[in-house]
Amino acid sequence: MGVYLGRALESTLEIIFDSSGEIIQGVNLNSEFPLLKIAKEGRGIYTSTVDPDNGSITIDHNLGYRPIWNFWIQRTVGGRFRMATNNNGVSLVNYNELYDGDTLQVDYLDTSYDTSVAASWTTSGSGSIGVYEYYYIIYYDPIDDTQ
Amino acid sequence: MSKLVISKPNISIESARPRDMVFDSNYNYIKIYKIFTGTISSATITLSHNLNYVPLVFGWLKSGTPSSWVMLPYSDGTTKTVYDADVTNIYIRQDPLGSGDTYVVAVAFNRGV
Repeated sequence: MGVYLGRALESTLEIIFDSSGEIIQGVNLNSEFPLLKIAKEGRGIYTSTVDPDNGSITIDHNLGYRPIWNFWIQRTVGGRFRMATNNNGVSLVNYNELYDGDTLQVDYLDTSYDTSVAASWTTSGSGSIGVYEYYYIIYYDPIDDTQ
Repeated sequence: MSKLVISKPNISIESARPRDMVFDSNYNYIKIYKIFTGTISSATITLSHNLNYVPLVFGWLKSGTPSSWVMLPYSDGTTKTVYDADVTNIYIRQDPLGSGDTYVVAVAFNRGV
């Protein structure tokens, strides 16, 4: 037995679990406002083949439009996961997150394709080949709802 | 298998694609556990979550002149602000320490990285 609520009912479902529900921040679910729906999430390992290290990955989603997504990365030795942000050129590493003092920088997050997303990064320094672990979440929700 | 489905206005749940849904219990969501706000008053800010696993975390910073909100990690070319998490705490780190930037950190129930 399922519970189905649709817009055909012209109703609003609102679930509030505390008394502060009169403001939207206190509402756990309000059907006026769509939620980000996770379509795909995962993690992987990338081993660089050049020195200084760099790398890139492409993640297929095949949604047929450009989705919202998030990306995190770390170098596995002495690293800490960092979320990649869109302020291109930001150095993701400081405070010796990389054991050798190198800096890890995500150069771009590519969301320009309907079937995949991609990320590219570089690491400063030389003398070691990096192994990176990345984590991503791709949502069903498009960046541009008119797509 | 029961499910709860809510579609966007004027879209039938019978024909709705995942992107057309307001909510669909078939899918997972980011579930907010706690939101921290405060001022970066030291090089490292420690925020306790005690989830006993590393959670998914999103952070924002209000900085600059005029001030504006930016997503973390962030560098303005001089000051770098980052965050990371372990099974007990969230750590916000700023170098060099600024003059009292405001932060917002959202900790999700979802397991993070």
